[in-house]
Amino acid sequence: MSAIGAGRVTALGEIADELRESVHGFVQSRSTEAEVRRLMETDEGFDPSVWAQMADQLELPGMTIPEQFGGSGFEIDAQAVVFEEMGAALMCSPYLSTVLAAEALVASGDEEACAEYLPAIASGERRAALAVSERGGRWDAEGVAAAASELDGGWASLDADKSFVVDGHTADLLVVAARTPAGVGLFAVEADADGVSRDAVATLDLTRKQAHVVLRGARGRLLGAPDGASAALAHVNQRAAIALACESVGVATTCLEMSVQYAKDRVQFGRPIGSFQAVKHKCAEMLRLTEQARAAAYEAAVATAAGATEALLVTSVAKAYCSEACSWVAAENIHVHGGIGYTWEHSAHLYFRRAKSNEQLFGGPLFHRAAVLEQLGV
Amino acid sequence: MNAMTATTLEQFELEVTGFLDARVPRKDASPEAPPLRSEAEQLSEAKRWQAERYDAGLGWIMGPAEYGGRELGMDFERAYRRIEREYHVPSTSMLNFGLTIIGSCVAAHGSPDGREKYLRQLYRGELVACQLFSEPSAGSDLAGVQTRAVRDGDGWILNGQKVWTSNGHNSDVGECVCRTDMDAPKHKGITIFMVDMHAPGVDVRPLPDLAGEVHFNEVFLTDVRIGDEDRLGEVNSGWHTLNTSLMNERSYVAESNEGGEHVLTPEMLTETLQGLGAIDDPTIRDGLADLYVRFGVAGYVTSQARRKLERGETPGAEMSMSKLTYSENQERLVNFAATALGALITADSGQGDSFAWARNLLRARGIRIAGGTDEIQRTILGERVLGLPRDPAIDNSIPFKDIPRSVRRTQ
Repeated sequence: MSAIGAGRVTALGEIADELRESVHGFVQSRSTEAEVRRLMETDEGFDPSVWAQMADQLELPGMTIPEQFGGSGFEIDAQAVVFEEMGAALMCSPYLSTVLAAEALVASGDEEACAEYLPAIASGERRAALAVSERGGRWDAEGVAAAASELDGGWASLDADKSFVVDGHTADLLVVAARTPAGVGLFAVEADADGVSRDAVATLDLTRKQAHVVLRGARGRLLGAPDGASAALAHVNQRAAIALACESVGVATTCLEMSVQYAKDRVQFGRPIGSFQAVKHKCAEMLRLTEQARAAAYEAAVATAAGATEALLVTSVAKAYCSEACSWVAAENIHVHGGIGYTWEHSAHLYFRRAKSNEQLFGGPLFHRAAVLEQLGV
Repeated sequence: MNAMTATTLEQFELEVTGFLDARVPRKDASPEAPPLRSEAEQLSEAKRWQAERYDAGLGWIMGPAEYGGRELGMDFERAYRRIEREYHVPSTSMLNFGLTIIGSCVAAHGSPDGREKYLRQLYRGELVACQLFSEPSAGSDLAGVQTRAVRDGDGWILNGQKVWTSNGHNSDVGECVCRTDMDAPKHKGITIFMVDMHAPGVDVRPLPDLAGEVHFNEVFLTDVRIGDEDRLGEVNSGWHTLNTSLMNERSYVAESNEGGEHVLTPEMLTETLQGLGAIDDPTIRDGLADLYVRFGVAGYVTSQARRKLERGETPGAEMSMSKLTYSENQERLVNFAATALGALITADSGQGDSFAWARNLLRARGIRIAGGTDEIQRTILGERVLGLPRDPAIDNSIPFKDIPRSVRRTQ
């Protein structure tokens, strides 16, 4: 993995600016509010033709997949821009889930499996999802109760009840964490295999679907070592935290823009409400928290891409901070809009739902604050 | 030393290291800091150290050679600060106004005679400077100053009262904001002057703060005579002159975010709590971690703003954001310290340094007020960055003398 990070561009550099421009144009044109509302009412929750365009035109699904497996070999610092732009438009897309499942495959160190699965993911032909968490909502290996039978030529029979599986109902491939006699391992399971059942469940965030996935004697191919999940998931969870932090920064940025525009347009007592300090100062705080969150998310992306020793610390700082700050901004956006912000037809609640869901997925502020002290040795 | 020869950053760093090695101990060689001294001793140490820096060409790294500066860039200034932090050096914080905000204002707006008169002495630490800005009825609304400056022959006569004058009791000169035209609207009748704090008619009275300590003063000006060479900028265009000073002040307060002397950190509180064996409670751990998170993020913002500066971009209103974050973080830290310490914050029970947090708890109140209140900073962000409509001002266009004044009631 370390060689992949060499000579990369950072999220703050020029290439990121170019990338942002093209991603911004794509996301804004494909993820209009009308489209978001249409897709959130569908069973799939995304538009397969847009997914295909995203793969063909922008090559986004393979962005961080190593070149030897058909990807572009970027690191997460460049990808930060993509997550931010998608968050800003609440893009309904199985992008996060597919990227994280691909990261799990790469992190498993299983070159044969990577060569088999990753090229189709990079090209956008197949989508994947991580099936790690269970009832307790933990994303580390220790929290896994799912059981794998004894291995037979690298294959096992799996029994699992997986919750909070993002895009699990539409993925073609599941990366499942299950307990083996040696420890917790990762397994690749074809979504249409016998013994796999997947149910989309009701979600707080209407623009990101989740599934409950049940495996009963489903065949799974071991990825890497039979106790390899712990290290691989640490790698994945770090990137998940950064991706969600960046998305939330995008959410907060849009919420800030919405509030400022409304504060300029809405007139009460004969004045735009943005001229009242109660509203003006709230908007100023929304700006400050959004900018701080952006700085934190970028810092984490850059430190992680560079393999910096403090990368885990910075990532937990960023996830803890962005989670709460961006949720606050999204909540205050509802408030600035007053009654209209509390209606179904206004989009403020959609952003609040995404921010609040991002806050808790892959470890909420409590989890990441505990991790901060652990990293600091306090 | 020859400013004509281009100095590389590497050469400069060697020079700085040589300068410091010859004079002061490295922190890694002797971890114990010298004991804190009385204010008078601190001041004389500060003056001695600044003179040494100046004489070695390190007293005004970015300043013009004519006045003893080195004419080097911000990266050299930062390199010096970074290297100096590795040594035990006398604190020059009591000279800071003169070395940063006021010095740069004199350099930018002073008359040739004024620059000649002040700059070398300010940067050699011979003159201690203070800001004579706020008044009893001009706080957040600084453009409402009432201290009058009236022409008298080739000079000026000053009358008025200033307040919150930090370090005024140690100062030799003050940068004074005066009203020079009562008939003009309030922003258009202001002029800035340098005032000799030892001149007849200048009366400095220490004003203890809520912690019972003296950091600021009231300054009464009665028929104080100054020369026209002491004027900074054009007559009646002082608001413009002042704004450059205020931007500098905000960046100065923001810079204290990192490594400043009175800045409290989560590490300090961790040490106190560890000393008391009170670090295992899950509620305390979560609160402490929250502080590490907030201070960490503030650090990222500062370092990214610095990288922006180094690329030649201007951070601008980020200074207002940094000041808000700094004051928020300091306040959260001391408030949480009180929560975590419980009864130990209420009295000196002799347990470790726990009661020192009582003083910190009190002093943190001032950070949200000094250098522009939180509310003023938020107004700046709302109007200048977000472009929100201004509060309709009733006093921007009428003559200053017609603006209503605060009502004074006897208690």
